[in-house]
Amino acid sequence: MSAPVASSALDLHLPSDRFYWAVLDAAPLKRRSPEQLGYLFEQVLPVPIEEIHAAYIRIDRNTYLACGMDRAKLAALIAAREADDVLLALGPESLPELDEDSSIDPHSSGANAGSINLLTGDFEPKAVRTSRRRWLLQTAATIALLATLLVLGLERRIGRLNSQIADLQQAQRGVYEQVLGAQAVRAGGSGGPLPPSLQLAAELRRLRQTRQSVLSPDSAGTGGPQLVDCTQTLASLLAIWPSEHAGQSELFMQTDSVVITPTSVSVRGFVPSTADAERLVGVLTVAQLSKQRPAQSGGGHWVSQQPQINAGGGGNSSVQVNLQWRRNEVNKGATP
Amino acid sequence: MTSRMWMMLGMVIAVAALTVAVGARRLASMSARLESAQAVYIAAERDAREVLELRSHQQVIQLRQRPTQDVIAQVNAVLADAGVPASRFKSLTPESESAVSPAAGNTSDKADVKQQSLRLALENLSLAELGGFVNRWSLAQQTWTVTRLELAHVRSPSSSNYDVTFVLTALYLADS
Repeated sequence: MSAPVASSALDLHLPSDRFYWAVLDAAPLKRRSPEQLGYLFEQVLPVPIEEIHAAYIRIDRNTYLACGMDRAKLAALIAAREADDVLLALGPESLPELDEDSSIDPHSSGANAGSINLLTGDFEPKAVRTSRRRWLLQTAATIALLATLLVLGLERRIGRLNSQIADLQQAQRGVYEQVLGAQAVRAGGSGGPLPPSLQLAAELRRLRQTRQSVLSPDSAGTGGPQLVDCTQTLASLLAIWPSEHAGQSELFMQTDSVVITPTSVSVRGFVPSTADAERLVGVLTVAQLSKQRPAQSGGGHWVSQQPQINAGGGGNSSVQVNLQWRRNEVNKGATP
Repeated sequence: MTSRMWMMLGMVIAVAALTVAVGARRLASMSARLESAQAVYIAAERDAREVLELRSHQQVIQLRQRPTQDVIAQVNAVLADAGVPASRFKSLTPESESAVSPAAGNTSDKADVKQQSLRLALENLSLAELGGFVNRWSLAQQTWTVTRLELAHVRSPSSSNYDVTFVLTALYLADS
């Protein structure tokens, strides 16, 4: 048996003949665990696998190189070094020369003797174990700290958003109070008939229905039906009535009746003479009344109808005059 | 021991991840709530602005049919305002009612609309008094429109006054 060679104070490399070696075909194995590989290794060992502590390195996809030592010998080696310093790694100094009939040569497969360390599992050094535990604890603590910081950050943002929502709701309440009144909002908020949002919607609906004309002309101006204000037509008629102020000599007419509807104007009266009647008819032409288009006319033009002049219609040789205008192209709709 | 330590580390990671995920989900939910609150506030503000603007307009359609007594009171008020003696008020009688088919209409609610008509008779009015009454009537309200006007000269030949008959028509919401 060759003497051990220590490459450093913490590593111990022994000659390869101090170990058990085998090249294992792991193709039949479903799981390549050390336990399963140990069963394969046992087939070439002179002792039961339980007495051996082994390490396995992968050569290729289905092939492993096994390296083992008696547990008792391994423990003795470790105990011998513990008095001086701590062993961190124990392995072969080189790979063995396998039989000529071996189909696999570990040397050419790239396997490295330095990567074999038998100080694992039960033989793991205490320092390594302690160091790993410390690392795990530190990692867990770091993760916990990071998570806590993240959660704190998230909670702060949530708090800020909550505050913004509260501000918005307060502003919204202010809007409701401005429109509906504080009392209505309080009544609605405390389980009253309607919540403020619905009260506002109802008020808006009521105002849209009653403040905006449902019968106003459409944007093309061709018009929907309208309520035609006849007082505007009367104002137009009076505006074109001949008078001194209009630069015409005054025309006396005893107006008997004036009837104004959305589609017709009818004026009946008496003038002193036929000449006055003709003058009156000439002044009140269709062009003049058409020019005075009323503001709420709903469109359309006034067309003068044939005037009726009846001489001797009234007393004192007065002449009866009937004047009529009809409106064309008035949209049908709300007329009485 | 080692596997137990790794399992504990795994649990710490899982708990941390779960806590962060719950917090993130809460944040997402709160963001969605904020967006919703903003949308509701903007809509409320827009509606409020429209309400205030519409309130500055005169009412043109009534919510419901008006009783004759209300209109009588309105007519008397306008006569007084125009300086026309109340004795000129002869009568106010209901006319027929009918439904109105609206056009494309400005109202988004497309309510059913009816029209209500009343016949108002005033007697012995001068043209100036007639003009004063008509002017103040249109200023005082915009729901009643004069849709027919009849002037009949009073019997006395020396008078230039008229007996005036108005047909007043107003629109109202049929389902109110």
